[in-house]
Amino acid sequence: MTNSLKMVKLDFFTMKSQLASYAVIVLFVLLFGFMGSSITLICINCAWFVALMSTTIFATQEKNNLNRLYGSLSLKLKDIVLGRYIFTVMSFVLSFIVAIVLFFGLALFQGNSFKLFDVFLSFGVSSLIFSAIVGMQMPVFFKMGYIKARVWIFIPFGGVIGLVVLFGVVKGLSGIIAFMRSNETILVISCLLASYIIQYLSYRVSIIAYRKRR
Amino acid sequence: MNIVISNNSNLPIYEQIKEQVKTQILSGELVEDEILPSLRQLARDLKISVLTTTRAYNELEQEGFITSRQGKGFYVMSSGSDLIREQLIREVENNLNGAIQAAQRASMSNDEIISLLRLLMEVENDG
Amino acid sequence: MTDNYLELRDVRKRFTGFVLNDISFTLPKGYIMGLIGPNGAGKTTTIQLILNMLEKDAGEILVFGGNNVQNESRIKQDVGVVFDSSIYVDSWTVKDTEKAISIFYEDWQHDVFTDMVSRFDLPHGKKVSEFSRGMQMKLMLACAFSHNAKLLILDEPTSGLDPVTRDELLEILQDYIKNGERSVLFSTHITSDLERVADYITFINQGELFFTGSMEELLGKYRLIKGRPKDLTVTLEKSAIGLRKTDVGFEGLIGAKEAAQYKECVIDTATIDDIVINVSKRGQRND
Repeated sequence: MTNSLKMVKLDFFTMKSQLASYAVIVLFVLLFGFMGSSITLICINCAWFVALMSTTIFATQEKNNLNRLYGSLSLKLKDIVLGRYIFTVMSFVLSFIVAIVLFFGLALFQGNSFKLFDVFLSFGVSSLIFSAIVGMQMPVFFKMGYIKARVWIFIPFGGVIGLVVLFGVVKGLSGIIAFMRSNETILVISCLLASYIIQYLSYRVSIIAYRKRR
Repeated sequence: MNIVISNNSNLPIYEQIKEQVKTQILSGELVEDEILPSLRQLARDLKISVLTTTRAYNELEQEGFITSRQGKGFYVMSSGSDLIREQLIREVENNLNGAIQAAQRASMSNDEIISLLRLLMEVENDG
Repeated sequence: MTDNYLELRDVRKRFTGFVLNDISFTLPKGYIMGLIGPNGAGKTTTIQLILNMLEKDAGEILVFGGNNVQNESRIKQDVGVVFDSSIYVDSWTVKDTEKAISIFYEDWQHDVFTDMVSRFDLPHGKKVSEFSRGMQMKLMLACAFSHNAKLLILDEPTSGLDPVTRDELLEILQDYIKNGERSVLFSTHITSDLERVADYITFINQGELFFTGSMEELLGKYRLIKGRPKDLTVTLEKSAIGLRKTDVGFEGLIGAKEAAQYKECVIDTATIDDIVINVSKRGQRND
């Protein structure tokens, strides 16, 4: 486990110089904040943005041929994959915190009111969206490396979006959504649970995918 | 101890080291019981491999010119000078025998051989 | 503690189109071993197998006497690696590199690192991507030295470097093994670097082990043979390695013992380069 945490630190050092791109999130928040969007909507936007940005580290890894660095340090397959997942989740959490703080600051400045529970709701929903996207991406990027994965990732993405559009029409799902709306605590908990399950499954697949690549 | 290696020499490097050590023992530059540079220090200074210096020292030890003391290093042996003199005298014998045989083939008499030897020694001493 | 720092036994790795076959050699502690062979011969693959960056198909690799896969974490604490190009993130400075790398070592010596950085004159404000090749190599070296590594593995560290830097590196390596408790494995196709300094040589050609043993043994085993066209007998033609025939004569490599019988020919000592060149040609001729 400790080696995975070292990998997380290494990933942060690796991406240190690209902090600027994450600052774009700040702009997003301010932009939507001034447009008067709800906190949930802002966080959802953060979520998919950070999720898509999370592949940048694969690009850096490939460009700098960091596999050689990992090989010279005592980083095993599991450490690299698990560390990368933790890094990605942490990036999301940090971005979320920044967005929330800025949103609150803005709300106070504008004199708007807000519900504290909305924070939990936003976190739940944005976690789910984040996990869904990242969960699909990570195994593909581990298996194929950045350059190829960029192309191939559109297949699962297209597939999922197609499914979502399709299911949006089905009545059964709308019944579930209505139930969820009425009991928001369950919504939050089930979102977080689903996020964790998706990440865990994705992690197992990534391990197999990355091993095959060696 | 002074060692200078030539890359152009016909002699392999370890032989050059051996020759130079022996010469210095004979001339007294290296005295009895004097400690020699360690294998690795010598390799480092001459920019050659450790195995090369090891071979040179091992052979010098086998031939009786130096000795190794456990944990301390290599030292010049007292008999070094005598051994070298012995070797050189043997070389003189061999060379003289070769010269005598060649002289006999040329049908030179013993007196002619000795006169020639005296003449050459004078030239050698003057030059 | 074992006396052999590195031991490979019948190591095998198959790729499509290339096979590394039955590679065995031993590097005792306190010595420098050169890993030589033409480009594409399998040197980098061998190093990757030692570091478990690739999984071997067969055979055993022992580092400090222990299995290289099972003891990987422990072993890598004591192994330093230098590659032919920078392995660090482009945007890192010297300071970033130390911060990132030191995380992974129990025994990181900040003083040693600082000392090496100033000795090598590495610029503090610049990013690694702005370093010259020589500086990039020296940064990897500084990191390798700063965690008390007992085994230093270098994969073509001198390609693209000027002779002055190459010479500096050789001096550094000789200093490194001076205390007798450290070893170096140095893979290169610039064999003149190794000629005087390497104690042992392992020569890999087209995935096969051509020779492993002391430098002296290798140089003593072969001679260059040159002669007039009419001196080229049938037996000589068969036994010569990498034979080159022209209108005015021929040249090739031959076993030292066999060389004695060819009295009309010129027999020269073979340098490492001569041996590598002629042995590589042998493979091509057979194709």
